[in-house]
Amino acid sequence: MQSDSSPPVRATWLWFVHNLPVPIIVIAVVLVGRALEFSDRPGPYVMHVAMIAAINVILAVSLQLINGVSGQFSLGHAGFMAVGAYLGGYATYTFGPWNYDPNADYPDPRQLFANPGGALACFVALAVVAAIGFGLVTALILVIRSLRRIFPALPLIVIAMLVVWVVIDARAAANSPNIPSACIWSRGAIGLVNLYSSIILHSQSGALALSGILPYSWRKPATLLVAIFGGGAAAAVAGLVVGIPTLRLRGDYLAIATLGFAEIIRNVIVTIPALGAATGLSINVYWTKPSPPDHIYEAFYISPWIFGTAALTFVLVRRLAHSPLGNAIKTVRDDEIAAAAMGIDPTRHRVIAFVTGAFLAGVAGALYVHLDGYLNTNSFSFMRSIEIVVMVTLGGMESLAGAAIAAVALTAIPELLDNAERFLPGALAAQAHWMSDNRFVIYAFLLLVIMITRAKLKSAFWRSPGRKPQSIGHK
Amino acid sequence: MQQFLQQLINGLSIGAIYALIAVGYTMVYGVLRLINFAHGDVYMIGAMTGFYAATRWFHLAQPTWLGFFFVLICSMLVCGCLGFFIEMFAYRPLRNQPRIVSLITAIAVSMLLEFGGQAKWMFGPDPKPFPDLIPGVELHPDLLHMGDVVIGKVDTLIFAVTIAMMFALRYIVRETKMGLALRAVSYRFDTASLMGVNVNRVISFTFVLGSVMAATAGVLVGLRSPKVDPLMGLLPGLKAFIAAVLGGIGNIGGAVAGGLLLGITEAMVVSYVPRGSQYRDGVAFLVLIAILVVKPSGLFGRAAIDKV
Repeated sequence: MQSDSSPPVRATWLWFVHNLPVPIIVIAVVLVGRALEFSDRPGPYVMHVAMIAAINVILAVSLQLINGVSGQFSLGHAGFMAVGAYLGGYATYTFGPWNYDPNADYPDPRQLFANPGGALACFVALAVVAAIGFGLVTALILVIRSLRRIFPALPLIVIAMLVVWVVIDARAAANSPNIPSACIWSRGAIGLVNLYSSIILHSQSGALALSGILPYSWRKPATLLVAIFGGGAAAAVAGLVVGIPTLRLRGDYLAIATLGFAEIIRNVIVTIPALGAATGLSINVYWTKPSPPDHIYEAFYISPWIFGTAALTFVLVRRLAHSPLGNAIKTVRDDEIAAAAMGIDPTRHRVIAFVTGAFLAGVAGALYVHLDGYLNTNSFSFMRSIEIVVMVTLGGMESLAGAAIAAVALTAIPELLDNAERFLPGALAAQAHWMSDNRFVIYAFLLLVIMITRAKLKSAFWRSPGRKPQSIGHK
Repeated sequence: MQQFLQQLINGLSIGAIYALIAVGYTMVYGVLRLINFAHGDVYMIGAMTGFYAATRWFHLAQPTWLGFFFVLICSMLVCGCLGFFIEMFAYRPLRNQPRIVSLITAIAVSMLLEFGGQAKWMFGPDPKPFPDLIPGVELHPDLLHMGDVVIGKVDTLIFAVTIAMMFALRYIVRETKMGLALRAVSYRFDTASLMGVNVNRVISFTFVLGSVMAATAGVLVGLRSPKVDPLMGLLPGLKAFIAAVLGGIGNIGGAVAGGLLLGITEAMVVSYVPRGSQYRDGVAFLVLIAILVVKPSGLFGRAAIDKV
């Protein structure tokens, strides 16, 4: 039970006491980051690693929400990060400049981030088109499901026929320059894309007016905010799309379903030319590149955002986990049937946890794209998901702080191995060289050893309270 | 129609490989409820061992049936031992831990094999050219011509070896005592040990059997495609796992059916969907999503009922 069950008269003071630490912690982290940045001690490389570590903290904490608090084993976290990264980067790069020119190859970098209204218009257009598309698909699915009443195997037959129809449609459309009017699926798809383009085109003047309202120095932060939230929202929608069909799957099946969805997301992103197709998306985030090179003060404007978001995410997820909603989610994790008997809707709470985790992963992705400025689908592969899962597991499935610490450690260790020559004395130079050459093998071997010994240590020294989770070999 | 038949035959050949690997996945899942992500890399080790056996150890100048047989046996031995040691050192200590720990350990073993294989002192990252092991293939690669449809010798051999291994596996699982123990352990872990079954030995046997199958798949795929490299096990391993899920994970016949079905689907998509070769890998994941949404227990699996 929450401690503020006191009457509303005293609640205001208590509310401040409970909630003041949030901005204090965030501001403290941001200031510490800035101080480190301005001093010459750590240097730009270490700061870059620190920012990657902060992004990994956001990812690990959001996955901890899905895996640890909600008990849904998700192996597809990198897919949500990819959605947030690609869409956030695309919005900033294409619609962020003050003069939107659909025919230009490279927007003028000096005008980047000057048009938050444009980025907002991009996401609104995407939302409209996605709503229409998903609405149609959902209606189709509902119609097919209702056919089950007529004949049990009818939905499968209808789906098979639909698949064949769509393939024939696509083939006919691909073979002729003008799409015949009979190809309703291809025309529908192209119609949706045209709708998106026309919404963008018509909203540009309104977007410019909106951006003009803001004072000049507010526009860069505003564009970044729009990109981050928009990327997060898009990832949340992706989380909804992934989460709802997989609701009734448990354990291993859910893991492979999320893995499959992440791979599909990646494959879809590769086919879209606007997002860079196979060569990757490259956006010009000139404010993170030092120019001139010794002015590192201009180099990392992004750092307060990254550190601040990491701190904010950690605090918010921790509060969520210990709130009534968090308790409900934990109850659904522990015993779904008992929770349902107590009036807690398992479906709703699972979806809430999943979508929130996906949103935070999208935020992390949007921050990541503004840090480095270059995206390749290989950065969001299955390996990336696994790295995040390893961070959560090594940090302890029950602890958020553990996940954050493990995220920082697991970001630092490969970097240390990489630069092993700098840390070991000269006599061990050959060994250091060998270590950095074979760092992946060492990482994998260390991971193996840590997983095996951690298990033995844990069972030797610590009895965890509560129910023992299901182990292999048992039903 | 000709194209359809040709793609069917291609698909069966691809699917046979997936089936061999999928059987290993499904057997291990049946006894341990563990998705052995390292299985795809055992398949890679099988292909690599076949390469080294053929070129370095036996110095096969001419392809002969006896040479092929020896390479296969060599590969099976190495992979069997590898599977045995993986189980003993990586999975056995974690049998009482939550499933996610074993899963991550499986992935760690997979990473170890992949990156270790890429190291300079092991295989090296560059692909190796797998030699011809079947006599008579180089000059006359086709076995049968039916109009425009061509059935190659290599494809037929792959299919034949797969069928033979499946029959051998069926015999082991149905007729031998070890097979009975295997079925008992996959049905009820604890009760089997109460009935006097040495569970550790059965699990080791399962791993060895699965690894032998994967080794066969590795050598066969080396015959089919010219290059083998340390990262070749990642994608086929994932697809074979999808095939196992498609057929009903835990069900050996289902794994075979799933593998063949997935291979045929892949061949069909590549040939019939416009720009289909781009979606070649994505189609496997679409099939996975489809089967998990429609029938999660797979085509031949039994639905697990949650009891209170």
